[in-house]
Amino acid sequence: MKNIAVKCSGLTKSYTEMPAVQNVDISLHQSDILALLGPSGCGKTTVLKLIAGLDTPETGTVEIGGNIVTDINIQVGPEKRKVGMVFQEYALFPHMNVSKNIAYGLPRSDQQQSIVKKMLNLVNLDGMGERMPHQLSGGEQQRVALARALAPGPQVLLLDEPFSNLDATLRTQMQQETLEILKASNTSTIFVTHSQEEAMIMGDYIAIMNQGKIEQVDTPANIFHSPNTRFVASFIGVSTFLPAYISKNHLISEICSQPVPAEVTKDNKIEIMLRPTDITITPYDLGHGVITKKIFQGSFYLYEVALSSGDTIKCSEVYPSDYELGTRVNVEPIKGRPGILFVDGHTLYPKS
Amino acid sequence: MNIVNRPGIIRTGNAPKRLSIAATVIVAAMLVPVIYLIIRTIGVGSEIFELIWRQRTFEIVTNSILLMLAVSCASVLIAVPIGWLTTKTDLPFRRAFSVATVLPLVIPSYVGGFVLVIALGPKGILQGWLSNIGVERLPEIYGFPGAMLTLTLLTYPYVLLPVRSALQRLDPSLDEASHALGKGSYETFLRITLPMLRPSIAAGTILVALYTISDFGAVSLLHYETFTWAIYIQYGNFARDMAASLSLVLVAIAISLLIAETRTRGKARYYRNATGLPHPHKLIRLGRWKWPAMALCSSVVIFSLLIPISVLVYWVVRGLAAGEQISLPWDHIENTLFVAVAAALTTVIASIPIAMLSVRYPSYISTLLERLSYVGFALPGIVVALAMVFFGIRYAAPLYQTTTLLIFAYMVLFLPAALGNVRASLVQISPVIEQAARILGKSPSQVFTTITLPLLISGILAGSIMVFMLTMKELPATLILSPIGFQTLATSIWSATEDVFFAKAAAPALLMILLSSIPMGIIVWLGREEVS
Repeated sequence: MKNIAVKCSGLTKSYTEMPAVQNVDISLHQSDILALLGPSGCGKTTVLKLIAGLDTPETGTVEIGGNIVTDINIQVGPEKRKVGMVFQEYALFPHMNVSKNIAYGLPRSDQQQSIVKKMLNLVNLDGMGERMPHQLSGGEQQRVALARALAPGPQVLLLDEPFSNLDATLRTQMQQETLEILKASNTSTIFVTHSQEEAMIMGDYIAIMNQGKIEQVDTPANIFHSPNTRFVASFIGVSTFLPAYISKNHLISEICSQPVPAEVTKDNKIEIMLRPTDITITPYDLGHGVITKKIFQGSFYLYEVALSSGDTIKCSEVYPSDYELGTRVNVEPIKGRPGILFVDGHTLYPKS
Repeated sequence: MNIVNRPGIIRTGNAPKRLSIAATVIVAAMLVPVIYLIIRTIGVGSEIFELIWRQRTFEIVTNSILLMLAVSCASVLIAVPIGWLTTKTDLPFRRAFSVATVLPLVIPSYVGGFVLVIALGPKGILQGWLSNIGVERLPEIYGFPGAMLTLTLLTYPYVLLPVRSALQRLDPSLDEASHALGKGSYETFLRITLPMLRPSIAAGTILVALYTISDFGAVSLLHYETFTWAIYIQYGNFARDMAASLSLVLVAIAISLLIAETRTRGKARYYRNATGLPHPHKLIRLGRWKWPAMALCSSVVIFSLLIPISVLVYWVVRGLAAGEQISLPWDHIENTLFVAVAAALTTVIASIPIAMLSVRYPSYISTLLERLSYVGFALPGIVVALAMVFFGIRYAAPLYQTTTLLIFAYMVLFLPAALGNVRASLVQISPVIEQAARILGKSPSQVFTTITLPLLISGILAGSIMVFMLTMKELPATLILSPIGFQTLATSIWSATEDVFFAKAAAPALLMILLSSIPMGIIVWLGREEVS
């Protein structure tokens, strides 16, 4: 079992105009990467600031490397927490060159210069030490910010939307490079993002946040295939929720039926969540759906089909099947993929 | 530029105790004159209301407010077009105009007023020339028109400076967006540029207004009866209680102005985004409008700068021609530079905690502290000086009649000039940069010395130069508080004008203008225009 790098328990922080953070528990093992994913304003940056010590929670504790740094009576200053942080806007010191930026957090010693050199090499900026921040491109600034944060050898690295200021091509490249650097240096990392793609590429684990609460912490695959809550299911990937009702021991939705699980009663609000790959459509003149939207996605088409009830479902069909808008179709679930049952907004068998 | 509006980023928790205490102590010191006024006024008892609610008081209040409004409006009307022309357009001699339009600030109002009388007054220079072609009378310059003209021409740079630096900081893509949406230059200026300039215009106008209601030099030379004038008369008659109660009314006016200005600041916060290079401004081509633009800028420079300087040179030359001995008063120069430099340094240092508190930890209290520190600027120099005498004799006898007390008085009078500049620089330093430094293992004081202070340097420099210049000009406080025998350029100009030795007054006046023009000019020329 790996050591715990960061452990937050019961973190709560409220601002007057924001929901902020409510009762957040996070634990991060040594050299793991955790993505904190959620829509903007969900409180993910606040969690980062509470861990860094830039903000004080009302309740809850933070432990870094086994030391309690935030508690009811303890609030260790950010400078004594041994965390590294890369800010969304990089926050390079504009009056210092690249080398001085990187050396800023290092103690004065003979090794200072050699560490700076090592860091410049690590982030592929050899020979750029004399440049000033304003002479650097966005990607280079991002690398300097990373090198500066890693130079003092932090217990944990915190990244706040680190790639959001980069263009798409550069972003993908920087994600890969950063991942390699973090893995090579065994750095325990928590990073905040609103991009599910980024969370899945970089995170060993993903924590989904919504309105100040953590909805689920899991591996990317589990988050996608076994979402615990309706929010997680709708936030990650494309999904359709169809209402279902109980009739004669069967749970009936507009496109399928299945036996009623014992725990479900008539008083529950029941929905079935289906991914586009769980459904297939076939043109049929008397079918109960009509194609209303068609999005080309390279190797497949994503269709939106209006059902006779007025609900819409999304389904994907692999190229070369190609149906016109307005085509009447039959909608069926694919065998062996019954979808996920949501009872009152939660899965029936949530993964712990 | 990026408007950061994420509550999580801006909030930095409660202000550190040391900072709050430092700021409170400094603001308390700023309020010494007000405390003095209250003590004095309480001494009067119930008569005070009779004293204040007189027909006469009403008249001078109206006079003062009228002058203040007129000078403020005229300053904005001069400063905004000049600011726009010298930053955003291809106006010929742009840099020279940038410098020349700021320099009138260094001319003391008592020199400006006296030059106006010499140049345009009855039996003045212009009258002398015109009498050859049969013009016997010029329009009356004494009273409101003369006072307004003088004060406007000498104070509009207070609006020009913040407007120019705001225009330079404005993101050009806002203009481009407006043009792309089909709006012409004129509409873009009215609907985009002007609203963005509102806080800077307000910040400059408040200085003009406060300067105008506290000025004595121009109004007394031009015989316009304002508040300050009445206060001086009352002090002259040793009616100090009456003078104090009038001064308190002045404080009340100043506070209402400050409240009004606070309202214009709005909620947007502007930090420069560190990513990407700002793309350079594209200058607007003036085309045939070049000539009217040149005419506007030139006439302002001629009236506010060239005429005063020419008149002074004329008097020096006339004096020399008349065989008068004009020697450089080296000890006066030395004294002037000493107190001006000392006051500039002290004042800028004192302004930093107040700026830090109000920018980094905004709250009702920190805003109140910051605003209260402006009250000194609204008080006539004589009120501040007499407050220092009052407290000096009673509670700080060893300091009385020393340059220390004099420098302290300058600080009370001019702190807002330093504060405005330091604040403007600080607003542009993103707090995230300071947080980044904290996380890299530095204590708050290490962060201040290694990050904040070096980035503040342009504001500190601009603030010191403003205070330096204001201190050189200040007359009443210098006269009352100087140690015996301690003469500065300002006091020697004053004693010469009192003796009607214009030639003797002109030489030190020119010297003073030269001494403060140099740093002012350099800072504007180099483009470090964060002066406000």
